[in-house]
Amino acid sequence: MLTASRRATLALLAATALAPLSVAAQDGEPIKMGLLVGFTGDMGPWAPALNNAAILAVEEINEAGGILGHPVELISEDNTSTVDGAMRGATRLVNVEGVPVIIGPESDPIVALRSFAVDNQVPIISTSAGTEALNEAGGTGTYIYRTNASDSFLGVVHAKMLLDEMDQSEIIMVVENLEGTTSAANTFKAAYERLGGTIIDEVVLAPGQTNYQSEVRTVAGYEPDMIFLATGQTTGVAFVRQAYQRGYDWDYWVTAELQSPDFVDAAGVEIVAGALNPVSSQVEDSESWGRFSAAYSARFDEAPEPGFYQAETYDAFMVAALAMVAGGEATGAAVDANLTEVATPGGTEVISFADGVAALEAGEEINYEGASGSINFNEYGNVTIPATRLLQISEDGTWETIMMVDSTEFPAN
Amino acid sequence: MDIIYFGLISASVLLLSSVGFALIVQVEGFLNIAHGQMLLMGGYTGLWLTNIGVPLAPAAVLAAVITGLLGMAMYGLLFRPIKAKGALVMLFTSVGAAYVINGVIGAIAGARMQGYDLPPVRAMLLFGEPFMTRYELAIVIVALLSALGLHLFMSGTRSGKSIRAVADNEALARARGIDPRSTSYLVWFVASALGGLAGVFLGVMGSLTLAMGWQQIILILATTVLGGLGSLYGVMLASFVLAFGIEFGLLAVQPAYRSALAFSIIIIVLLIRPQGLQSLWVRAARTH
Repeated sequence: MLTASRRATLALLAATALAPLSVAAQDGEPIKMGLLVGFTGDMGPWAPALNNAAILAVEEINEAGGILGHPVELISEDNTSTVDGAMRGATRLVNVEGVPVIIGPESDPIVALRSFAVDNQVPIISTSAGTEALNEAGGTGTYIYRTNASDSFLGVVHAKMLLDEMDQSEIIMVVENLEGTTSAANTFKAAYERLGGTIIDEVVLAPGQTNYQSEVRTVAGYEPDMIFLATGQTTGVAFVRQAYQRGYDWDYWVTAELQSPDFVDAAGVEIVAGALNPVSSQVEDSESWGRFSAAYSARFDEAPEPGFYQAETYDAFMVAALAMVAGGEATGAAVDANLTEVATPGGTEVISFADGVAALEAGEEINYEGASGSINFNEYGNVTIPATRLLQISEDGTWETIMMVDSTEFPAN
Repeated sequence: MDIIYFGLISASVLLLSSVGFALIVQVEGFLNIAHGQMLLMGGYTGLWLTNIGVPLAPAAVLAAVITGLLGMAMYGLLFRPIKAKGALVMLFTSVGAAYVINGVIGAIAGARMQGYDLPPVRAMLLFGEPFMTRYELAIVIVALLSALGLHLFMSGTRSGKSIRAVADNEALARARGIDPRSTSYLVWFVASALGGLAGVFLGVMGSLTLAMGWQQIILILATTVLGGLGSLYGVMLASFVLAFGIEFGLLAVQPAYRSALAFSIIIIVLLIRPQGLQSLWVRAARTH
């Protein structure tokens, strides 16, 4: 096992050695940055928001003079939320467009792209992948990073919030048998039980059924007051509707898959009002979140929504751009070698690209403080998130923040 | 008692989805994979109609009629011209048609999940116990009525008889003065309209996504195989055998194994009766 510093040195050496081979943009030519997310498929509800965040980031970078004197161009590519689509999209972005960095892919796509990233020396930075498979997979030299929290950390967040804020020491889990939902449920279960909670039962739903009445009846047998619901959107809608129809008014604690306006619209506000979901976020009133939120609202006429990964995506573009500036060239190797460096505690804190460039030109080390969090990558390219926002579906059907909790002291997994 | 209600609801959904598919198998002699997209078409057309203010019941009927017309158009433009090339070519054509319909609906309606904007309802009470919601009761009644109606139509009317005649022997039917073309148009209309109606019910009971057609066609195929390919009554019985088999099976098996349970039932039945449930009353399998 290499130590972190030796890894960094090796990566720097590799970057220096390979620099002449890399295709750097010529004078005046734009530097392309790739966004690869599922505009269609499961990620569909979130993708337009991610794209907006990318647009905002690229516009800000260009207003500040671009990267190393080159304007930046955003290339958005659909990965259809699938592994196949991600391979196709990534290949096109690298071979046809020549992007030095790809931002955005979700869990299954980024896991599939791991060797693609290192083989092509194109860093891939996810902004929404929660999978545990990345817990110890990324970091300098691997070309794999993520700016959102891991499911394992979110599992701890769910457990701590339920135990400490809701005084809910026992709960019934209803889990759809899918990769993403099962992963979220398992990390929650492990953390909840370790921290002293009791899982009364775990009812597993088969995907794609129209009738979940038997499952509803099983859950009802425990006379629960709160249910941990980890399902995809269609199954979630079917389950909560059928429970309501049989006369049950349960409180739901849901996972990220259900935290969307689509879920509320399709299930019916009367049925799901009161449902809760914790999302990780930057601390309230932090300067970086406030600045991002204002700029986003001004640009798109709507506020960025917590849990929609807009801030995570914006931050990924910012750190990647700053890494190119710090490395002195617009290549994937420069991004990989400097990504962790430009957001490390100890350097001058900056919250915008322009400030970061100014500090770098003054010869300072910098520490980018993101809109989503501190973006302090650990040796595996993972971040922790400083705060948790508890969202609840209000009586008029919108997801509202009802509580902010400092999560810096939460155990990492 | 709950189990009977749950089984009845599941069986009705399966019946309404599958019976049109089975009708086309019987008359045209091929597996119309695009039938799943007829459900999608019906579901989204109904959604669109209710969104512009049409009340649910007329919207459902209208959606069924529009889907039926689409089925007729599909037959006229796609399947009639290639009928001479055989069942395999028609099967592949239907797969292509399914993708086209799915793509067009996706382009118009968008990829995000949607739902009918209906006030939430509780199940009605029967002897003080929750029974069914009015939508669930409606689908049970409609499914049973359509099964009965189809039976009366096929056995009692001239059109029904000509459908059966064309299915049995098209050349002979033509020689006896039956026009197979108008018969086929009628079959496609009825089959697609029933599929469209099933789509509306599925949307009302749950939600609508573009994947619905693909998910349902698997269940439809399974039900049809269980019933015995091409047998209307076989499919009707198969819907009930499957639905009740699953609901009763869940007393002993974890609900996560719903699909496994369904396919176990199918495998066991086919091991004993390779021609499907229809072989209970049809001695020799029909060949097309």
